[in-house]
Amino acid sequence: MTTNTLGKIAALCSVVIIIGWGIYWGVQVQDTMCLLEASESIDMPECLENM
Amino acid sequence: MDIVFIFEWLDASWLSDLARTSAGLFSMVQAVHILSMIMLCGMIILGDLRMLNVVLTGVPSAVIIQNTKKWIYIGLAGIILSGIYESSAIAMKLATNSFFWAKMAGLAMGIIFMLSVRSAVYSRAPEVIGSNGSQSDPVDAWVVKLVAVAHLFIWFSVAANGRWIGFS
Ligand code: HEM
Repeated sequence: MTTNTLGKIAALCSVVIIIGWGIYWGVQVQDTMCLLEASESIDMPECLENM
Repeated sequence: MDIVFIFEWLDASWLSDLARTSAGLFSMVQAVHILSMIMLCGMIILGDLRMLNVVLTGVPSAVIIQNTKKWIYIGLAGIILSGIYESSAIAMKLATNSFFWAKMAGLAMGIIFMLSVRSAVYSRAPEVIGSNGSQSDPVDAWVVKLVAVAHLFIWFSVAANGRWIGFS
């Protein structure tokens, strides 16, 4: 494989991994914040419905 | 594909009986799991941070990558074997646990990415990163750094999801 092709494939894979990572952990943090909110309030917060 | 039968088999095995009845042995295997993770992730972090020009910048990167390889494999062997033992105690919980599956997906991705992209890119690192002497046809430095960050992110997720199994 030429270095140019390798560089392109590597950059693409890495960007996909980094964006996927951001989405995955973004959702986990959001869910955690929602559960925290639910544990502190008497009414059911809206975010629980979308979990 | 239904692979629940693997978990049912593990759950009914003698390994599972042993894991459930001997708390002392279980805690020792847990220690092996964590120590293997330290070995595995320690060596990975060393190589990736070297490529980001953060640690051991006076040592040629090829020397670091070459010398950490064996210890990465030893760490992987230790963590997979101890992981199977730990799994046998809670096999039926794991079969439907999303964090366990996220961890396994991350582990597979980490191993494939490490052996393919990371290894090919690092061996063609430019002189500004590698200090291996001049390369005839190097990969751009920013690509090497992007690969290092992506690789660190994958293993972070494997470790964090591993710990999350216990909380879920
Ligand atoms: C085939 C491979 C593996 C299997 C089957 C496996 C399985 C397990 C199981 C069953 C647990 C116990 C969960 C609990 O009840 O708390 C665990 C914990 C953990 N695993 Fe793994 N694991 C594997 C590989 C890895 C790897 C590669 C890493 C890190 C890079 C890792 C990091 C952890 C951590 C941080 C914990 C929490 C500490 C503990 O409870 O010992 N595991 N793993």
